[in-house]
Amino acid sequence: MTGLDVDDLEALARLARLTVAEEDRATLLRQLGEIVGYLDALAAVEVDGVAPWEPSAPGAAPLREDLAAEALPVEPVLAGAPAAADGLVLVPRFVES
Amino acid sequence: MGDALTELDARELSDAVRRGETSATAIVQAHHRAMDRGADLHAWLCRTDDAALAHAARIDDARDRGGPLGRLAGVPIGLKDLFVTRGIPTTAGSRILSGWIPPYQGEHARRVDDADMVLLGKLSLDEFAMGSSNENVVGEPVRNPWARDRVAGGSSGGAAAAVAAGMIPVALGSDTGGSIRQPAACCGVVGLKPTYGRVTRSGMIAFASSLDQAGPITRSVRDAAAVLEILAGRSDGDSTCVDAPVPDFVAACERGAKGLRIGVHRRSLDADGLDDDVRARFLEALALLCDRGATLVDIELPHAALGIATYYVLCAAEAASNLARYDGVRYGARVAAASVEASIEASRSAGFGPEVRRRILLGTFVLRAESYEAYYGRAARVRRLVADDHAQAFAHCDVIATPTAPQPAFRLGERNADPLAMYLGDIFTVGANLAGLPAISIPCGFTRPDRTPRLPIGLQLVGPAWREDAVLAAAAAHEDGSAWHRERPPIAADETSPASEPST
Amino acid sequence: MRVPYESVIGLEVHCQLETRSKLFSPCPLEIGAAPNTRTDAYTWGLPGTLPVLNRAAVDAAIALALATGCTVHRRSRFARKHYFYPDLPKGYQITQADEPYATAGHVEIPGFTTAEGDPWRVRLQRIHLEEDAGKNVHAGRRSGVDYNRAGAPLVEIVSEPDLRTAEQAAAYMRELRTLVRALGISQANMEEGTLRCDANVSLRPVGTETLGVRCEIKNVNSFRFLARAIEAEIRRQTDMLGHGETITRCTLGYDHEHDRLFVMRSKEDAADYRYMPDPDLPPLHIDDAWVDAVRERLPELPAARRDRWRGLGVAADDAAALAAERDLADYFDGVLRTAGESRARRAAGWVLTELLGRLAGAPIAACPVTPAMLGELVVLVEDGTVSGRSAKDVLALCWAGEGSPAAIVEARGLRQVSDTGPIDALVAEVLAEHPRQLEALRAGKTNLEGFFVGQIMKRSRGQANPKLVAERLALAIAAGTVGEEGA
Repeated sequence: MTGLDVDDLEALARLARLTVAEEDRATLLRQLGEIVGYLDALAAVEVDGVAPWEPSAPGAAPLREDLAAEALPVEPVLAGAPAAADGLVLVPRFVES
Repeated sequence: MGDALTELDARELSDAVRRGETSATAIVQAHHRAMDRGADLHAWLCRTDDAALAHAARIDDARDRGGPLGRLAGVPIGLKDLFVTRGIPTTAGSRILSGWIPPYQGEHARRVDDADMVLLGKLSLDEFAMGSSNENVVGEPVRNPWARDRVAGGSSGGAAAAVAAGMIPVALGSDTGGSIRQPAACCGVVGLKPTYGRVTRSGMIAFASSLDQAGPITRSVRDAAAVLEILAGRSDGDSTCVDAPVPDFVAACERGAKGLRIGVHRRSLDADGLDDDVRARFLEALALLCDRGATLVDIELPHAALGIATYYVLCAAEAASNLARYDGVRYGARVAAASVEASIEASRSAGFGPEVRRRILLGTFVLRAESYEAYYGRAARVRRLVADDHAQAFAHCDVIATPTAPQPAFRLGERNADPLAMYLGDIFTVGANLAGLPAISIPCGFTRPDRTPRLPIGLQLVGPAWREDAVLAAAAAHEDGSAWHRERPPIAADETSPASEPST
Repeated sequence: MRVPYESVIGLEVHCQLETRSKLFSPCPLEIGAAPNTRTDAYTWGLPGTLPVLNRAAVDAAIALALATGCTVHRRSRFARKHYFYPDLPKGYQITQADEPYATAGHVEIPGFTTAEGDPWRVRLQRIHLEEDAGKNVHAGRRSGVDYNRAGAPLVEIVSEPDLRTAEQAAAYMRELRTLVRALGISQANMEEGTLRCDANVSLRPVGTETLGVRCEIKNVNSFRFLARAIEAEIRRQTDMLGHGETITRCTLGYDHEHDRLFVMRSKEDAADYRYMPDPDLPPLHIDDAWVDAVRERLPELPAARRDRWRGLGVAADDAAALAAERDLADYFDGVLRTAGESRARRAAGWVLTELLGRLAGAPIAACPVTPAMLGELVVLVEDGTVSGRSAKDVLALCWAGEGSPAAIVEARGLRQVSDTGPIDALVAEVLAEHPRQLEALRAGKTNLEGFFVGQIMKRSRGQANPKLVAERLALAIAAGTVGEEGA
């Protein structure tokens, strides 16, 4: 498929939690449309029976033993948070969904 | 010592410190002055002058006491601001990380520190390493030391410019689709991207996890080999990092070019948009290597033309995923709002620049349930074909040579309105990332004398997986037969003679 | 005329694995720690951090797969599931999507059988490994987030829709809890959130096979509420269908205070999680040697234990109660080791009635009476050394730390009297003291036998063998001469 419309753009922006400003919309649509059009070259490749690429690092240790290190001290970590109190990271109140 | 300290390469500097011919402090001071003189390049996002001088003093003290010294003791280094440094702001060049001071030390920072290299600061980059011009920045774009109206390349533009300008002999960059090699070519220095999995990604802020590799930018091939030895090897924090002994890469640089089979993909040289000078310098570099005993082999890379499409699907998808953590909740910049949902969206919208937003939207598009198979799924399979092409080519050759970039450094602002044109500049570099292969860019000359400004041109050498030694051997053979790597942009001259410097 | 419906229920159960560190980072794990004191750079989702899989979590996951008869796949892989939420540090959860490590198993629910009398078997579609999110805490106008739980290892156990009633669903959950506790891989505590459950409920006309539109009930935190929430949902759907309404797919929450469900999400805003293979994690390879090593370490499973005990004569309900908790089951097996398997039935009664009664809800670990002691007591009762009544006193003394039952019986002289001589003497004494009652008994008031036995037992301070007392008493009355002789 090629061609993204405004609804697609809005849907993508909603999924990605980005606001697309009204004035940027046309440019962004054109740019994304061109890029997606270029990516559509992939549709012509014969990939039946081709396994997706995966990294293979010989001897890589993908597992670790169950050993607990020291936890990060809570104060410096919370000091880096935009808002914190009583050991918690604070956010505006919200309803669980 | 006749040469200014900023002219020496990393191994020469640490040898001089070890022998007592100079001090780490004098070296750091000389490089601080070079940083001052080159401030208009905007290569640095953050300088750590005081900490660097304190570190240098500790090294000098250790040397005076006869204590043990690290592998590259006293050698100044800069880290692309994608590498996590405890206690030192780390921004990935993004507003969204403004104010973040890492509470943990990244592995790269730890390894260079263990080698007693002295950190001079954090280097500019395209935001989250997305870009080829170092113009996707919060402040000023990085300027090319050879011509101030030209880009330094990207995304490790600050790193390449700083090394070229003599501010540091070594920088660490990251390379996802050419982000070490292309700026190295633009600035006339050496840039090495190791095999995927050779160097840990733990402590390097992720752009596209299956493509990212950290590597050195230096002024000589042997320095790149020495720094790779420091960076490489097993990591407890990265399940994709190889657990294997680190070869003697510096020794590999002495092998010469005799018997070296260089694969050349002729068809890619016919592509539109390949600059005449780039083609000419590339052919001259091949001739030089042949003079030193190498032979040329024609190779086929049937899926090379699909590299950029494949690359942009995968890197956009992984970027959209990796950047989901920046929500203004736990760290970084938050835009306050009445609801947490609104705050997350506002923080992300204000925190990311246009190119990052574009790639997140593109990545979200290719990962959406209805387009996943057509884009992401397909690209992951084409990637396998690209890797297979390379494996087949390496049955007939030891390294593959290409130009690093189709053109020398372009003008600032030239491609900003046309992201696709910017992406197409990665044509020669993305293959090594897709196939996970080691690749180096080395200086191989300049644009011809009647063109102004005079701009450096890079030669890329790609090797089979885990064969950095082959890449380094070929690159060193070229370097030994040429003097391009000794060329310096005008800025680098240090008027103060190191001999007359008071050591404070 | 109303169509009868049957409910079709499937559960997605999340169970937190009990490991020292988290699933993908060496961060310590502890339930109930102060907020954000069990985090590390990875847990926090800090830039530059990467996941590295915990081997012990995979060990535990394999054990569960083997215990439920699942196929363990040699290759599985982790995927990223994307959504934005304050308690999700990376903006995605690492889970297993299209390649889970285990598929196609089953669990039998004790106490439920099919029409044919076979055990009720719930098929498992899959089990997969994933990391947990943090916890949101709401107070006043603000909400806060605690990331201690973020990154904790979970297994998600997805059943086929093989459950038909709320009671079955609760029993299935209990059986899963029993199983993972028996395996020693999880505390599986619903109140603490180490065992959680989402229920998919749909209705269909009885006799049909096609599944109806299902609704999902999220995050119920006790067995009781689970059953009530499912019942409420069955009522809701039955009412809707009865009124000719169509059921639309939705996600529901259960408000246990008001025993009612509320809609959290409708189908229109179904999420697109943008799953992708996690590029930070190579595929997980589990070879036969690994599976065999875990299999060798598996304890006897609850179902096997129940069957074994029933084979020794223990009642089905008792066997189920004993197997429900691993500590209790181990205790009971300890009792059997001393008491002998032939005394299993009586031993079960002593454990379930006397011991649990005394424990009054405290954990078995707090019991001062060792399995060997209780086993010894069971033997003393069975072979008639102590009377049942004395045995309870012996248990009390044993509980109080007075020593082993045999030692207590000797020290306190509680041995049951089974010699006819002393008992005949007591019979004679008591009959002589109650001539009027003896007269009445002889006249046919047979219920006075109990009175005499009681008096005799009392005089023996509980040590006379009651069976023997009854026998000697009957003989004495029949002989009619006892009274005169003893007088």
